Parts: sequence; structure tokens; C-alpha cells
Amino acid sequence: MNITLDYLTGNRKWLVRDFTVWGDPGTFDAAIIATEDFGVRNVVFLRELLGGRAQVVEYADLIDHRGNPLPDTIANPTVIIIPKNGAVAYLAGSPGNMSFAIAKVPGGSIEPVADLIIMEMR
Amino acid sequence: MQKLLATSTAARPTGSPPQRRLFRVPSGPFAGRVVALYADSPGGIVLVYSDYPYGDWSAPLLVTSDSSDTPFSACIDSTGNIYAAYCDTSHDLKVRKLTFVGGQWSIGAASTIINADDSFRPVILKDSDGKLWCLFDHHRLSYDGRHYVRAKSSVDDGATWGTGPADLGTALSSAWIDPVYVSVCLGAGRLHAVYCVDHIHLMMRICDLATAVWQDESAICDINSIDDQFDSALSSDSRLGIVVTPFSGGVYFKEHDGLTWSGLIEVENTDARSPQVNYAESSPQVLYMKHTGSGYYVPRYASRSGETFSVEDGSPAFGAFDKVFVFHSGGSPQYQDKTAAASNATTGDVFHSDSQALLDSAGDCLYLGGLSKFHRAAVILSTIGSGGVVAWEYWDGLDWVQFVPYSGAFNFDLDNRLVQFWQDLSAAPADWQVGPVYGYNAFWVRARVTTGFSTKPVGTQILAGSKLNDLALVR
Repeated sequence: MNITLDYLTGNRKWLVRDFTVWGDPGTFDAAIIATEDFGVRNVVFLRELLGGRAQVVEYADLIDHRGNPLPDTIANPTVIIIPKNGAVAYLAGSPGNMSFAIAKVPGGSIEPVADLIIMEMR
Repeated sequence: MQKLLATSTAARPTGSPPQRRLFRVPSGPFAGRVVALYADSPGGIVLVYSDYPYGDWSAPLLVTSDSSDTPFSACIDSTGNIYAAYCDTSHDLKVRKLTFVGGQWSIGAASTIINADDSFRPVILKDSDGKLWCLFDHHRLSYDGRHYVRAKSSVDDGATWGTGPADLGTALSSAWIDPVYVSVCLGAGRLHAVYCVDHIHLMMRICDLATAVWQDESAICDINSIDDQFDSALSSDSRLGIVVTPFSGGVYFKEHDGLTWSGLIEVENTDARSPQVNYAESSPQVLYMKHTGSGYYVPRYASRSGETFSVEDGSPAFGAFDKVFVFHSGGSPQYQDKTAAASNATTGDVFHSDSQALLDSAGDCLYLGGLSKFHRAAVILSTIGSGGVVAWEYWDGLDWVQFVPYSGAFNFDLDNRLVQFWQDLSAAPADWQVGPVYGYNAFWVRARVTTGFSTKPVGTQILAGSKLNDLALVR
């Protein structure tokens, strides 16, 4: 482990201003239990948001408030949404290392605009 | 997400497709809580629950220990009370009320729905007037030895059914030699019973709740070998949808608009099982398990688009890998893309062209990549390897990390093996990172040869398959 490199690259933060959210959360919140038989039978819970118009955001497509592009991958990222126009958005699932999915709350009449704080949690 | 809840010794822990086992608390301070009932043993039924985001589940609460090892069913009312109907060891039908107070369920005493002859596979629901309905397969051993779909009801919260346990209730079907299977759904003051008799006939009867009079039986369709492989649901505008995955193949949908039936729509031309249907307003949504070959299945999701259905994978954790590479240290090129070959069931088409093998000598690798995390690979080989040893590794962002699969070591020495890397998706390593392999960014797992093979394995199919069955969709 390179401690100096880890120090320099860890816990980075970016602010992305005025991000417009148009993604649908998925029309079908499919929670399921099922059996999987391997000789012993496992009872499994599955949950997927299906059928939506996903807004998957690649970090590499974002520009921070200083005008710099974000990196392609972010380790253990956290995304914080700060609403700016009263319309609410939320993360659909956990952020990935390359992208995250974001959606507006169903029923809203306007598309949410928000500032995003993206943090790398080493 | 995907979470292992328990292991069970029951024959069908999550029941039969027309039955209900998974619910959302509909109102109150615990609205949105998900509660599941399953058979944890041949005689035992338990309840577990979880709140959003459903990663942590309660300890099992024993609902009953006198169940026979046959599928049971349940329903939830507007305040979160649950009614579980099951067949006991004498093959009498019983119900227990699980009263919901302060975020906990307390188990009530069992009352008998019917004790005449044998009864199986109940479905239960509560109508808007608080009346409970139970429909079931009644095997009338003392009379003609035939099976009937019967209905009984209770107006005192399940304490008394009809005139008592000996009351046979209403026969919805005629008499049949073989078992019958029934589903039930409620909407617009009417109860819809959809049932399969003689393996192939799907029938319907409707009960007007105001008069409690059942309309005559009507035929929905005949398809070879349906049995319990169907489900039904009602839309907000009272359309009745049914989905069928007959053992003879295909996934079919049919809809009743209140007056007439639509034609039989083929959702997907594939072998499938365990169908579930749900409506979002007036749009039907269908889930089922699609057979991918060699006994493996992946979840599929279909939604109606015009007159047809659009179909997609139901979970990114299952199905074909987004990228599969074989790496042969002596090859030129060393990497070859086998993504398409790994996803299909063509015999013996997953190999490196220079080694003529999936894996050969020390340093050779099989790379499995997904844009989302995954936790398993179903490996089907046309030639079984021998003499070789592989190390399984994932990429943590800095290096390859060796691990022993949850299902145990696998050195490509069996022709059909489901390699479970981790217990479930939630147990996948937190430090598993996206990284590039041969220019492709993904979550990677690789099998790296540490001791070369004397007989080199050749692959037929490698995908994140499952043996999931008996799906029960949240209601």
C-alpha cells in the first residue's frame, strides 16, 4: 500500500452544480421471494426496480464547479443531493464506481434541479 | 439486491405461483415494511420482516408447526394484519390471524376452515367488507375421490367458515381426477377465481360480493400442462390479467376487460416457469424464470408495449456476463472475447483458439466481467478438465485478491457446476472495484491456472444462472 498516494487520492470531493434530474424510478418495484434448490433449499429475497427510464450518470460525464471533469472511476463513492427548485430527487440504488442512477420522485410536475456533492470514501 | 434469508427443508418453501407469501405493510408508521412468510421445515411456517432498504431481516417468528409439507398462502389487510391459510398434518385447512400491533405480529390460535376429507393449496384474501375468502383444492375421498375447486368464507375474522368445518362450501369446478389449482383476486366488488383443472383447462368464475352469487364457469384457454404454472391479477380499471408458463413451453398472457377475453399473447417463446403478474394502473407487468439450458434459469421482466410485450432481464445479477475473456499465456493474441459463446448453449464453443481449451497451462485465465456486481457463475463444460488447479480472484482496485468460492473449490473438473463466489450478492466484497481488463471496465472475477491441466477443459456455457423457482411477488 502506497500511503502517500492513498493520502493524495483518498477522500476527494466534487461539487456539481445545477444538475437536472429526469430519470424515472421504475414503474415496477419488484420485490420477490423465491426458492433456490441446491439439494438444500435456499429462501431468497430479491428486489429490482424495473421498467423505468433510468438516468444513469457516468462520473466522467460530469464537470465540477471549478470546470474540471470528474475521473472515470471513484472508489466507494457517496452522492449527496441538495435540491434547488423544490422538486425532490433520490439515488436509485447504491452509487457504483463508474456511475450512479438518479431519479425524480413520481408525481412531481417539474424536473428536479440539484447540486450534487460526490465524495470518495476511502 | 439479492439476499439469502434462510435454508429450508420444506418441499416448496415459497409455495406455488398462484399463492401469496410476500407483502408490504400498506399504512401506518410501518408502511412499506416488507414481510415474508415461508415454510422453514416440512411442518413449520415462519414470518420474517425487513424495513427499507431491506438489507437486514428480523429473526424468524414461528407462525405454526402443524403444517403439512404442502404450499400455503396468506393475505394482508389494510392495517397490516396477516391471515395465513395452510393444510395441517391431517390435511384439514386451517387459518391463523397474525395481529399487527406496534410493529410486531402476534400469532393467534388456529381455526379450522374445513375438515371434511382432504384439502390442499389454499388461497386466501379479505374483501373490503372485512369478509375472508378461502379457495382451495378439495379432494373428496369419502364421496367420489375427485378434486374440486371450492370456496368458503368467514364473516367473523376467520373464527367460523360457512356453517363450520364440516361445511363443504361452494364447489366452483366440476369433479376432476387430478389435483386442481386456484388463484384469486379482488376488484370492483367482485372476486375473480382463476383455476386450472385436468392440467390443461384454465377456467374462471366471478363472485359478486354484494350478493355472494357466483357466475357460471367460463373457459379462459386450454394449454398443454399448466397445473400451477399461472398467476392472475387485476388492474385499477378492473381488467383481469393471467400469465401462464406451461411445461410445454412459452410464456403467454391473456386479459379480460370485464366482458370479453383478449387473444392469447405470446410474451416470449422460451421454456419458463414460475410466472407472476402485477398491474401498474392498467399496464400489466410479468415476471418469470427463463430456462437458459442445463437446468439454469434467469429472471425475466415483460411489460406491455402496444399489442405486444417488451422483455428484458429481470435482474443485473443474473444472466449473461457483460464480457467474458479467455487468456492464454502462449496465445497470439493472448486475450480472446468469448462473451457471445459463453452466453449461448452451443456445445464446446468456449475456448482459446490457440490452446483449444478454456484453460490450459499455468497463467491462463478465464475472466468474467459484469457492469454490476455478481456473485455466481454456472459453468457448463463439454470437456471436463483434470489435473489442473485454479485460483479464483477478484479485482480490489489495486491488485487481484484470491478467495475460495462459497460453494467450495472448483477446478473445472465437473461438467455442470454452479460456482457461488459469495453467499449472496450482499456478501460480495466491499472492496471489489471496477477495473480494466483488455480495455474493458467492469467488475471482474477471474479463474487463474496455478497448475496446468493434463486434460484441458472446454466450455459450453458460462453465465450467472440460477435455479430460482416458486417466485412470490410482493402484494
